[in-house]
Amino acid sequence: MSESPSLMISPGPHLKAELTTKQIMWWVNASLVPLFCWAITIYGLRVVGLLISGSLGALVGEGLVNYLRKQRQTMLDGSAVLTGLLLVGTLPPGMPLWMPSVGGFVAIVFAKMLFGGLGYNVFNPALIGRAFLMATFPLAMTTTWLKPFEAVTQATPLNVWKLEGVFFNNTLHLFLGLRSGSVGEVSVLLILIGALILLFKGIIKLYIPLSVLAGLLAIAFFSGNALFQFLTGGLWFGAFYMATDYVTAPINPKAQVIFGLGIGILTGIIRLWGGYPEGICYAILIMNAVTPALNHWFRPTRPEQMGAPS
Amino acid sequence: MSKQATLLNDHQIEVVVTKPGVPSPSEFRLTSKKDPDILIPIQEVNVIPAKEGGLLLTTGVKVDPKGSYQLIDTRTGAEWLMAPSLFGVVITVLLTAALVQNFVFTRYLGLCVFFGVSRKRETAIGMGVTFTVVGTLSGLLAWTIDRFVLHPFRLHFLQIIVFIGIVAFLVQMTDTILKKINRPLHRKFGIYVVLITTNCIILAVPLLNALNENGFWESLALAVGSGIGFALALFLMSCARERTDLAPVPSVFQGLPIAFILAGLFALAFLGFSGLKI
Repeated sequence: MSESPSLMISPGPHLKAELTTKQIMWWVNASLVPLFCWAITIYGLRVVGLLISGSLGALVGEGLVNYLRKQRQTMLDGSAVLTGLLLVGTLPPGMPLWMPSVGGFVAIVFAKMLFGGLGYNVFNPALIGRAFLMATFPLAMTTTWLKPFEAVTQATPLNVWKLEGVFFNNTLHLFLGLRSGSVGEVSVLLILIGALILLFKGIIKLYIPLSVLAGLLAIAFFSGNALFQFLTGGLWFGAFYMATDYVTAPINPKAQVIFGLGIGILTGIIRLWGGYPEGICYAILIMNAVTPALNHWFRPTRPEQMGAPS
Repeated sequence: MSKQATLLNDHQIEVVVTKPGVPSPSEFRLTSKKDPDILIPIQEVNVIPAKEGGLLLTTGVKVDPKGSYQLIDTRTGAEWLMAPSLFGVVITVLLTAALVQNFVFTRYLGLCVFFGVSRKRETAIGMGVTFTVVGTLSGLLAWTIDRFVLHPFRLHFLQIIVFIGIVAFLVQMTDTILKKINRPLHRKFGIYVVLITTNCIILAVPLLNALNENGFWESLALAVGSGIGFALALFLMSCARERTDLAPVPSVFQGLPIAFILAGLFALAFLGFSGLKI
């Protein structure tokens, strides 16, 4: 058996990643750059203010908790900035500039740092930040969407559909991102480019995003215009950037498919029959709540339990 | 076809027809299921611009939004039946109690038991199952007594004390019977049966049933739904708490405080179900 003399004996896990956590975080941040550049182009310079505000709130929260707990400062590992940027990605571009700070602070402190920091949170911090802002400032969160290239407010395609039953008629504009919507969600094309970077670097796998999209399509056929449902809202941003979060998604690929399908189906259900025009944020949060159970059901079993001869 | 006509309120009907054009009001036949011979007059027909083929019919007399009606388009012979199916009502009540208005996450009831037994997955499952069974029994017993004793004799003011008595009686009975009949099961679930008396959801269910004047099936659905919702909340919470138990939570937040924050985040996530209509 000892063919290789340089056999190293060590306890598991034996997988060695090429990237450190810090590098992964900064790579994800970098992959967001095209998205935000596009948002600045169509919604104006105030998006920069929102991005700075959101990241600042998150950084302050992270720094403060680390300082109070007298532990190693983790402000520069990229995860707090990422939470801030992802949070702003889900917010309407016309909202007051100070609000993302509040959201970022709450997201980092209550959803992440109190649970022990990076790797221990149960819910996606950025989405908790959004849900918190939605519950606290419902008016600012639902009425401040901007029309591209013009500084006037305009309801999002999903809002228009929900309230008036009218579908956005230009599929190409939906794909390219020439519509009103949250800062990071508008352009499917640029999200795909960002996702390609992440895929190429091996940071995300396709199990979750594809099953999210499949789950939504399954429900979207009930709405009469599946393509519209498929290309609009925060679906793509959520599927590629939020649902794929390592910490709050299940580990096992089978569990990941169930997780993704659950997100897609819940998103569709909330859109079609729920109280909100867009449901991806809550769908991901609800499936985050199911993740510990999924991890338990799909935990590795011993060989004899799987029917192997003992 | 039957799904494309709905009673919006007591004088408006929304219907989707296949034939284009605006028909005159006399081209529709609207009859009640109770009296199929009497035509209900239709005053106006308006087009709904946002929907293809969508028409808004205004009736001349008031109709009961919860009643059953039949609508016939005499041009095409298409028939629509408008009735709130019992099945639909039951499913709605069940899902509302379990998810949309989850007793723990949106009504904040049953919190003491919720935090008490959600520490471990096993106890959470035991409590969830036991509560669903006992809660259903007590809900039905309370409904029976409310409907056939309290209601006829106008003893509504006794509701709370009677329902508490029912719960206490049922819990004690279940405990005794379980002990005599199935010792191992009693050893497993006995402790939860006793704990159920401290759970406010079990009192909330009969009170809500009495308040909304729910029928038998709706009461059953509410009781089962609240049980399922409580069991679901307990199970998800227990899985998440087993995870936070292993996390380096700040020392002042360990144990109950972080569980409260976790429950708050769960409630935030369950906000997504608000306004859900099935």
